[in-house]
Amino acid sequence: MTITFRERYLGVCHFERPGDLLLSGPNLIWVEALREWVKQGAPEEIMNFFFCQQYFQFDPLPRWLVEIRSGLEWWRGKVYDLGHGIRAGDWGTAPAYPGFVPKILEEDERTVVMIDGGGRKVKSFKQSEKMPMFLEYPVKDRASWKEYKKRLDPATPGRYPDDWDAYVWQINEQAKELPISLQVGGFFGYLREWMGLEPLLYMFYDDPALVEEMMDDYALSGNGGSQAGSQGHQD
Amino acid sequence: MTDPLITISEAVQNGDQEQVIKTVGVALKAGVPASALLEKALVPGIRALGEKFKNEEVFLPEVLIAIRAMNRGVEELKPHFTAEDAKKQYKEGTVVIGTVEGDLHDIGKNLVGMMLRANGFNVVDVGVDVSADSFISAAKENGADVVAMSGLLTTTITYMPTVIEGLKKAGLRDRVKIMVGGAPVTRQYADEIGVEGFAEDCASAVDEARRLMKL
Repeated sequence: MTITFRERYLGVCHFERPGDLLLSGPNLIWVEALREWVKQGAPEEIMNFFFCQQYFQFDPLPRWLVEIRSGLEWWRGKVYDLGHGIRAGDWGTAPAYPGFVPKILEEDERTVVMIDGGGRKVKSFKQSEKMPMFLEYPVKDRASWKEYKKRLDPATPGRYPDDWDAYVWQINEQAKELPISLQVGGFFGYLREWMGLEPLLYMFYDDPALVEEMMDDYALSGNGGSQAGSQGHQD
Repeated sequence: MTDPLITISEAVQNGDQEQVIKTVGVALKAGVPASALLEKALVPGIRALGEKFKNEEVFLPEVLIAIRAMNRGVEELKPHFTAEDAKKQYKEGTVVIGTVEGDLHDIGKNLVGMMLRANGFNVVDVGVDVSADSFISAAKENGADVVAMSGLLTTTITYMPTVIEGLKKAGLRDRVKIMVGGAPVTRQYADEIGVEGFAEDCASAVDEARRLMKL
């Protein structure tokens, strides 16, 4: 009997399909890693997304991503051409919306220091997709948190599709066979993205009430829209 | 009356910087030498904490606040150090530490540097994206006993052999020990590239550096 991908996905998630596993993949592999594997003998075709998927036997993982702006939707964000071949999007750290406008602060032959879409000051290689060096984060204390959390307002215009009911109807019609997906993340992880690992770890001791407040604000912001997804918009 | 050395050591382990500063101040006024407070209170405190970290009794945040508490204590002591005390502060040896070229990650490298410094090593941090030439220059200029290389990416740790080769060409390989670390680095990889030292976390790095100093 053929089952839909949604049924398979839900079955795996509910531990009802022993032996079945969903392996996601190629988009999570750094281009540099693929290049290195080619040097080490892998076929050059692994640089191609679809070949890579087949080669490593990843599952295609089709899904319907709900169009709620949680701050991670690179496919809906605005891309800025910063010159020197550098392009950066205004998405960054969920569920901040709107994101920050990226801009270059300084550069040398190999690297740029810039503000990224998450409002972080980062140093990156010009010709590489490697993870950048994080130099400064937008949240440092209570005052900067107060400013930053304005971007977590679930009612910000543009966060949700204009006609929610029509959108829900559309999903129900078009995505019957697919899992419905929403980009959300963990409480520690996003606080780290806003504040930086070491400052956050110190903050757990220096001002635990602020950490708690940040987690509460994140939860109340709709956790990237999950409340809306499960309960129906922001009502 | 509680022994101030024990109080300070425990305060370091608890990351209680206020208690460290207060008790160091009281002890100094009572005539306890700064060197004794360093060697018999602050350093044992951070070492005990390092052991707890290796045994998974405490976690990274506790290590961070303990190092911070210790550093605050050292700052209080500094004006009271004799020239001899100042030398003793970093008597374990000199470590040149950096993240290899092509890699901008610094958290792990910073933690290892902090722990080494807190445990009596003179740490020369050459930063991130460090070329072989920069490692070599820093090793020469500072008379390094150990060169410590960090890398977080499978694609950048392949640069470590370039640094090793450079140290050989510069005639330094016999004089310095090399240790490596970073998420994708293993003892097997360290063996493959021919280095003596490997550590998988900041507390083990202190043990490894001490072991290398005796080789």
